[in-house]
Amino acid sequence: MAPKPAGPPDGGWGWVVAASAFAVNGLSYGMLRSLGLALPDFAEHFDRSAQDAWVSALALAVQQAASPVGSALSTRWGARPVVMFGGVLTFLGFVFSAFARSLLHLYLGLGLLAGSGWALAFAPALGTLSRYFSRRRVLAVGLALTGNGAASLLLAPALQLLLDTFGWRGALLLLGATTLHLTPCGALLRPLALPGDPLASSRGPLAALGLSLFTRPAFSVFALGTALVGGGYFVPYVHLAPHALDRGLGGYGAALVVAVAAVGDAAARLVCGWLADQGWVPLPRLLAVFGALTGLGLLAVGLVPGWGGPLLAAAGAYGLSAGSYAPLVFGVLPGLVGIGGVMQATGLVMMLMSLGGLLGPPLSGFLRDETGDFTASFLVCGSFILSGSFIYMGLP
Amino acid sequence: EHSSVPVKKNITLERSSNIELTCQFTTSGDLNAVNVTWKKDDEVLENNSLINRTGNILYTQYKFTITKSNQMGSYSCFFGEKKEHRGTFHFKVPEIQGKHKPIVTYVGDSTILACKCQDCFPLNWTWYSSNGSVQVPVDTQMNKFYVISGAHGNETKLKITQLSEEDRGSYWCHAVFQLGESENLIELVVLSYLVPLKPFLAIVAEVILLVAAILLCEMYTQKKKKQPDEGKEFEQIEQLKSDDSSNGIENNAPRHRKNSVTSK
Repeated sequence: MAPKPAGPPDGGWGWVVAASAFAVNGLSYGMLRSLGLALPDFAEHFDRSAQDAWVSALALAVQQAASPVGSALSTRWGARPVVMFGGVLTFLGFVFSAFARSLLHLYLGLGLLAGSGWALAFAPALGTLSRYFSRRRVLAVGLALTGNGAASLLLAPALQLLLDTFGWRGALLLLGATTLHLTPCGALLRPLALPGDPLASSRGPLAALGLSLFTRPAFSVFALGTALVGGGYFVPYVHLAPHALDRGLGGYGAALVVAVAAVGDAAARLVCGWLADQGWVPLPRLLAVFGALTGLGLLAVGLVPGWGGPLLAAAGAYGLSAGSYAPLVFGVLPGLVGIGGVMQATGLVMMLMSLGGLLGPPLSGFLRDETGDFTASFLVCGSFILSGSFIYMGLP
Repeated sequence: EHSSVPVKKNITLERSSNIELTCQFTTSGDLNAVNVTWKKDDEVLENNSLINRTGNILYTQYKFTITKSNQMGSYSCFFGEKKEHRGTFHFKVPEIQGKHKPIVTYVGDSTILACKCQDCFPLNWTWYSSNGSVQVPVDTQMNKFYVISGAHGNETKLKITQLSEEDRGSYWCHAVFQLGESENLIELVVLSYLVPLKPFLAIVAEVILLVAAILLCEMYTQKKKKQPDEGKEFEQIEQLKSDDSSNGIENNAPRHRKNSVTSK
């Protein structure tokens, strides 16, 4: 006789899950961001120049777009086996690409296989974390989301060392073994039965994707807002450094601008997570506010003259707001769809942001080529985020 | 070119050119007492120089034509006896840019070594390899070496296929100009797959152990939970209450009391 499902434990094993999600975030997004360091080595070996930048873009796109699959599978079979399998898939992707004989192999291995593995790992891990917490959920999610910043910090120099010692083939092989750690992280995601969980047997595969969530007006409003925000959110990841360089900063100056934004982002994830949980302001309002601030921050980055203090301040403001926004996006979900729908909603959120993510950076690059600098790019992506935040004001 | 304090200027030259070097010297003393000499490296050059004195400024110009590589070097104008009152012009052939870090590859792989120079047009590129101090031309007749020239003549690539451990070492690309040669060193490292394989297997083994440990640990704690449940509904109810987070606060007290009784 099993005890009837109780509410989220809000602690206890939940902190272990938070640590696991932290590692998953680091081993997926953090790894993806650091891969950029290997791109010149790929270019040199395959004697191409720009096409290899698409390898990471492809991996990111696959990861985001395939996330609902990860969520659907974990609603069916539990997050644990899905994440563990995702780790193996990513591992295989890296190992396969270590033996690549052409750029196509890299696309297949890193872009498709590893991207899919990451999709199976990230959304279920985050969804599970949300289920383990209620009063301190946003803090826990914020904590987990700092994983990719911490991982990038460690992985970037480590990757350079691997490249210098083992070349890119050996580096990919060892990175694959590192990403295999997603599997033990998955093992830590103990299944949790909660009231409101949908019964497993009564639905078909499409229903498992959670598309029925779109029939809820609150979630649809949220979806629209998030898709718009996604159009602007990823642009700074790609174009903040080139923008700083365009303004006349040297390599280290541009790195400082990126660092200021990254540190602000990481710190804000924790602080806002803690703040949001205090419950002083309803989460949807906070979401709209920080979304708007992120949009304004990006407008500032684009409009601010020169390359010194003002640019750093704008980058810092953007970082702080974007960092506050991130855990809130996941934190509002239980309020919108109930704790039982969180797993599927998480996957859908990733997919929504990926739609914007596929549109934003290429549009930004196009605007830069047409107008000569990034001002228009940042104005446009800031506006995307502002309009998405405006829509968020319609949330209950 | 002007120089009023000891100044150096670097000039990059590829092919025969007519050269005009100008030095300007300003002083408050007597200009007529100042002796003007032009030197190449340490040899004094005779007579081709023009000297003009106006007011406080002494102006000298040296004209000549460079056609051979032995004419490259340092040309200096000297004013008077003091070593500081001079300007130096260094003539060099263009330098080649290439990798500073060794290229790491694996047995059976292929690789491309590239050399490039900005805004220069060498007459010819040649590749050498060396396993010590002697440079030996790369044998392009062999199937494994291909030299690929860039579209604009300012770059060259050496493609090596079917790499083996003997191929490792230093490779030099030489750019031949009318006025001299420029070279650049690229180091090639060829590893066997066993090199990264060992740490790789170590990490995979560690992951497998971790997963096993986590799952075993969990099975163990599940067993511990199940044993006291045999027939004790009393404690099952206690479990239910303590899991119910909405009542968490009120139940803490009674739960603690019960625990202190049972855990001796």
